[in-house]
Amino acid sequence: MPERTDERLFEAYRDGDAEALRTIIDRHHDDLMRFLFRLCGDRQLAEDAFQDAFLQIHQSAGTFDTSRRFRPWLFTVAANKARDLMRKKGRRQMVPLSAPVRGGDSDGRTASFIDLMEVDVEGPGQRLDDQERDRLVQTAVDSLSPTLREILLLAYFQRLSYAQIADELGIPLGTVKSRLHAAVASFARAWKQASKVGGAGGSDAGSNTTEVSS
Amino acid sequence: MTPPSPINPDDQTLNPATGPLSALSPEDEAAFDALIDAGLDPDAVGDEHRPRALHVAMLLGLLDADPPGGRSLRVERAMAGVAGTGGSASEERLNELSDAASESFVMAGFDATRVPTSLSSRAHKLAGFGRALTTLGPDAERAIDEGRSARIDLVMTRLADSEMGDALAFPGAEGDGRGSFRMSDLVAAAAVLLLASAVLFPTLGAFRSERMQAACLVNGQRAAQAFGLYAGDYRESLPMATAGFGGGRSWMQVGTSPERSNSANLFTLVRTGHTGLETLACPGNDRAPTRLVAPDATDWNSLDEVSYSYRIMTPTHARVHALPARAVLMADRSPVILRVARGEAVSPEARSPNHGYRGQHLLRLDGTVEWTVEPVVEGDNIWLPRQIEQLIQTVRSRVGLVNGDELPTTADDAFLGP
Repeated sequence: MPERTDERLFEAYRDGDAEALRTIIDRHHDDLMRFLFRLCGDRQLAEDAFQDAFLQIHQSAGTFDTSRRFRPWLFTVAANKARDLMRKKGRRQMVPLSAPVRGGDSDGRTASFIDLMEVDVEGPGQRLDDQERDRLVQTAVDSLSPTLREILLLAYFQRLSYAQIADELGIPLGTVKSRLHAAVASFARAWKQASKVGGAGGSDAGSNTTEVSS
Repeated sequence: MTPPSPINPDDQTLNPATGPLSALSPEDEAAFDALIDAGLDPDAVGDEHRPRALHVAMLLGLLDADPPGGRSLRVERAMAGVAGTGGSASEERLNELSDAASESFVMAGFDATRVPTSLSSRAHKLAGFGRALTTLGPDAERAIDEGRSARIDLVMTRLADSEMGDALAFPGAEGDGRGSFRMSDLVAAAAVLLLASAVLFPTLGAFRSERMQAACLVNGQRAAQAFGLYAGDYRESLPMATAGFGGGRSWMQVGTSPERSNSANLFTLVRTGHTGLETLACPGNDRAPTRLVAPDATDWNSLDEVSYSYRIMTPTHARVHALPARAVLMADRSPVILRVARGEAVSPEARSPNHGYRGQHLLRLDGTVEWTVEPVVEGDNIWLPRQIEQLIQTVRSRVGLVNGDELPTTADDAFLGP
């Protein structure tokens, strides 16, 4: 018998089948926790956001349109909860995702362009052990502005198209593109910096780079 | 200026793999010539040829493996100039090639193998970033995995609580304009409540204990963070308030002699502000305070208030590196110490009273928290020092259990058999 989709499970939950929600939670547990770990950079906040997200899902169950996909909704709700918790804890200043990429630079400096080919990304098991790699990635993620961090992680963890991201976040398609491009560039720059400081051997601009193994 | 669309490898007019440059269409040839004339600077190409020139420049950039300062960098700079004509930016931006790769990668459903060949290497970079972002280190993965069932149970319990809250909310109580209660409403509600309590009571009991256990797990995780922060602040030390034990002094004197009490060592985490008292209050211990009554408190007031047993700390072992990584640092309170303090007989294999004697959480030095049914970890009973464990083992092995040939010692020795 084919596995029930999230949307059908959620319908069943709304009809009173509590175990259906348990199945959904179990299905998304690992990815959602990884997402929240990365987004919050704090284990306890991630734990709290996980709990709050499902409570919110439960409370908003009646508003969910089951013709839409459940997973993006779950991750968006979780991101909102994480943002609330981080704001309460005063960890980070949050900017709306719809905020413009450009502008706001009063000193008139020009944009800094990143070419991905300049940045080494080592495959698992290469030089860095997993623990160190995780730490450096988190350092790079933490150095991003909250807005960029959020859209980068949402995009990577959900694997949605631009249109779907725009739809889920309720922001223009062009904004999604520019924001995601800026997020990738910032992460590339931050990763390069973090791996250089951490001894991972991020290459200098323009040097020969290692192709990432798939 | 609108960025160019990703390069299409099937575009016969621009794909160098399909033939020599002479195979380019006349328009592409013209653009290429214009680009060469402009010193490989697409920004300097006239409007008529600029879009195609940009595509050609992108191809050249991809094919070029010059070192820094070479042609590819010039092309990159040129394209950066083209793309940057909108003004200044306060954040990093991808260059055109990486931008196109990013777009193509997303359009391909985050599958780098489905991205056009010309952008493949950059798409693989993006895939590498994705793997780095979505893969956590072993510690984090272990924390996610080990807390899985408790975490899910806690969600379900909270939702069940929420359901109960909804069910018990009286209609109209929030002032929805439907009027006040009548006696018949109250009688009906009372009947429903009685029925509900009869049906739900066993379930709620189970929910409650699950919730307590899950909350205790969270306490353990918070305590792990607090220990970590403390060690960071105090040169890898573990909390220790006393000068050490020995010389006939008992570390069981909770509250009365903080300078001799091992619980005062654990209380140090609260005293130094590394965690709150509520973190060290297991919900399974209804005597545990969750708020400081005296701001200058240095210990709990009595043994009953202590929820968690802490490793008996000696100066020799009060450093992180002095203990094995998997050393048990803290656990739900010891049943053995409680009974000893009350002068009652002890069972070495008893489980913590915090969770109805069903088991106990352990916090290890490496920050992991786990649930164990038995108090024996890697062959070591966590409630007892090794010398007493060995003594008990010796007595048991020599004396043995009942063999079937024993008789009552005296008339008042109650001794029953099958």
